[in-house]
Amino acid sequence: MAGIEAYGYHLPRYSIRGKEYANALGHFAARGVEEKIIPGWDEDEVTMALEALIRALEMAPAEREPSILVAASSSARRPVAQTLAQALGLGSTEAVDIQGNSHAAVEALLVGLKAVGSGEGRVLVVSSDAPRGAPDDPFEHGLGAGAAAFVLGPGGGAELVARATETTEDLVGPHEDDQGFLRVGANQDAGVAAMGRVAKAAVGDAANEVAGVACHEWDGRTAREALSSVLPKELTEAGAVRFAGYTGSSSPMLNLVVALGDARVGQTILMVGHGAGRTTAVLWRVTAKVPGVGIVTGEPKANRRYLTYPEYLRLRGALANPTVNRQTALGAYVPLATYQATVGQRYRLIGQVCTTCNAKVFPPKASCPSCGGEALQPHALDPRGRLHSFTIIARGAAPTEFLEQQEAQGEYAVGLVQLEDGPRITAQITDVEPGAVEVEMPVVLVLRKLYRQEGIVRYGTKFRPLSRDV
Amino acid sequence: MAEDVAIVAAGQSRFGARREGPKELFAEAWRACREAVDKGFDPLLIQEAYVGSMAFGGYQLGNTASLPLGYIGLPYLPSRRVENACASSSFALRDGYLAIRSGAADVVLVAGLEKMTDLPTERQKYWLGVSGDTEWERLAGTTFAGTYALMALRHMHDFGTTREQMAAVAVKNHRHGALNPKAHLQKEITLEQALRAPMVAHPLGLYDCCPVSDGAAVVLLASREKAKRFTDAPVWIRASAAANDHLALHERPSITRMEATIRAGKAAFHQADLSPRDIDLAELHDSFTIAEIMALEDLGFCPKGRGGAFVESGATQRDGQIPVNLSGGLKAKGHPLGATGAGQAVEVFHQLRGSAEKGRQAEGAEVALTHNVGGSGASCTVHIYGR
Repeated sequence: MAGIEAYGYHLPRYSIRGKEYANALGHFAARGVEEKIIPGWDEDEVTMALEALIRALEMAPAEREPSILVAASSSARRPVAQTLAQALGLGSTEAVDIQGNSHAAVEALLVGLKAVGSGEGRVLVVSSDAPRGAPDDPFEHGLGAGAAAFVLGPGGGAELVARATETTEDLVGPHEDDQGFLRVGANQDAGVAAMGRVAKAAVGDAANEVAGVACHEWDGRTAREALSSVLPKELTEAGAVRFAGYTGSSSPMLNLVVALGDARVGQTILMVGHGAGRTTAVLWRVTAKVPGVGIVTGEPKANRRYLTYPEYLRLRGALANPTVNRQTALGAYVPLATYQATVGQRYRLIGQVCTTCNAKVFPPKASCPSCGGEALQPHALDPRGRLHSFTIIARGAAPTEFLEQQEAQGEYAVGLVQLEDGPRITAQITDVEPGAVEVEMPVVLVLRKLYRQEGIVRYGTKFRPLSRDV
Repeated sequence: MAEDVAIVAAGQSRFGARREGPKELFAEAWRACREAVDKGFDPLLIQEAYVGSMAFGGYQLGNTASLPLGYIGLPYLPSRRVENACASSSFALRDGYLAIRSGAADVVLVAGLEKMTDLPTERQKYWLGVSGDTEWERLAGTTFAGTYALMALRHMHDFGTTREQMAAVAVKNHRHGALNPKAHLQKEITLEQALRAPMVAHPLGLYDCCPVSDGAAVVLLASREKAKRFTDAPVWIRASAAANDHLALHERPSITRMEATIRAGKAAFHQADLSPRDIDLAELHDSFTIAEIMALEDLGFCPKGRGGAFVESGATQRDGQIPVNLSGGLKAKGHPLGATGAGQAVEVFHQLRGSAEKGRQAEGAEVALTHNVGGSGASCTVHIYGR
């Protein structure tokens, strides 16, 4: 039966506690939220979704490419799915974006399950959100970020057993203003009531089988307010919103990751999504343990970096210097066409293997640096390596294109990575404090934002510590 | 071969943050060179001109050489811009040397010219980065400070080189620069100042990096037959050698040595039939302090990995085993990118004829070496000179 075969998630490592807001502003407006997550400067919906997908796929490797990849997001405004397909090397997979509202992820799951049920094979569904609010808006306080991914297939261990949907035309959920800031919706009460109704319809008489809840959460009270008439109190406590903040379409998805991590065979999970006038409840039954990496709630991992409020503003770009003209001298200028031609190299380390001496070559060349032979074939290099050397780029040592990154996040580490397969590559080392970088540190490839040029976001090669506990 | 090509005159502008533009700077260097001619000089004797330049902020990339040469009254002289980043004018020197060795010319003008301080910071940074691998190094977010920092950190890791040893290079070069009226920075610094300075790209701080400078230098070369028309005390070019290397640091098997320096050095010593211990003074390419340390090792002045200790021991001071950068080096004399190589030849010309300032003149010097590197080591020349 069609179901969830594996799952994964990605949460950026940067957080801010509610009490930092309270210290700075005198109050923290997000009820029941203790802390929330902000993407690093080089992260966005694309990079978060990719990391979530990679972790999900690691749990369920397969020989054939999935037939469809659906990328959902409430906050992304540019194509995500196609970049994900390129980065994963999925040449024949249909890449679909569902954007613009927080119901998108649940829709993606339902559409994906239907496709699997019709014999399409595997479908990848990922949601990623990074909603941004205006600094002087209380609604901004609770806006967080995150991504979750699910591999849907014919042998899934979590199957859909019931669903209920309601459409209300006069509901206005959170929406973007002219400057792109997310503003609170009107009539949240009606939304909460709708969530209660679809939940009741989906659960029916089987409330006692429900062991987990994956509810869309604007803040820490949403689940309680929506579901208290359907489920016992202990199941309606605040979920991921408590530490991630409001994550748009990823909200029910991250909660599903948490629930799948805790669920036992035979139990059901109630998922409720809401956005743009649509409300859907899905009841999942766990028929087999679903492979995935669960979200560790409660204890922060060693790598989590807590920001002060000024650091948070700076990371959001609220303190950027608008007078610096960044277009006068492009220190890292590579024309768009040249860049597009090397996307396979940058996203997936597609280099070469020398068919004469078996040496791996990167970047691609006309002749093998080891033996001089010219019989070279494309080859995706192992993404792991060790740091042969590194430096920390301070103000004054960065090309102009990276000034925006420095303004937001300060000094950054650049490493000379010795890849497992032999070649070396120069790249930024991300997801770690520059002061914690060491020679010989094991690292692994990640796709991150480099900068924006000619209106296009340039994604490229970076490395992060292999251990997420660094 | 040892006495085929001579430097018969040489002069330079003051290096520094100059108000003057590139043409005026060139004229200043040209005048200084003419004043260094011992006997009479007719500019119309010059047959070819090689002008090393990155081309001042990109606003004269085309036909660069014609501009200054027209300004000084030699518009019809066959001339061209020679470019290999910071080694531009030493490659120009090599091209001039080859022209005379080939017999095609007897009198050749070699020059270096750069104007950098009139650019806004962003544009300056651009020009400081163009000589690296744009696609794979710049896109990682590095300029040259970052690339040399990667080398320095690994050198410290592999050989125990210290920040103090690197700072000692800067202190020495500033002491010499303070005695050189043509130098950009004419102030001594202390070891503490160097170590306390802000970081630019860890482990390199502000005083590990050479300044951004304007300047020009002109060197007059002549064949053996023609040299005596200009002077009875020519400085012979006993060897001219060059080598290149992979542009990107990550393509090189080792980042703690410069293959281009090693190869050019070996070829130069072989040509001159000399060894490092025969050299009385050297001008080495200290764009960053670690670069001088690596050059000492790569040219064979000290064993591999011992460059830091070598500097610390005082061996490269004026009264040491091998005085290095008595001009102040790139660090204190300055680094107008395209002019540096020719500037090193100007220094050697004065040192070997005993006309450098007191306090930084090497006593009884007969044989000198210059080492000039493009960017992070993708190109390099080594020249050896003698009386």
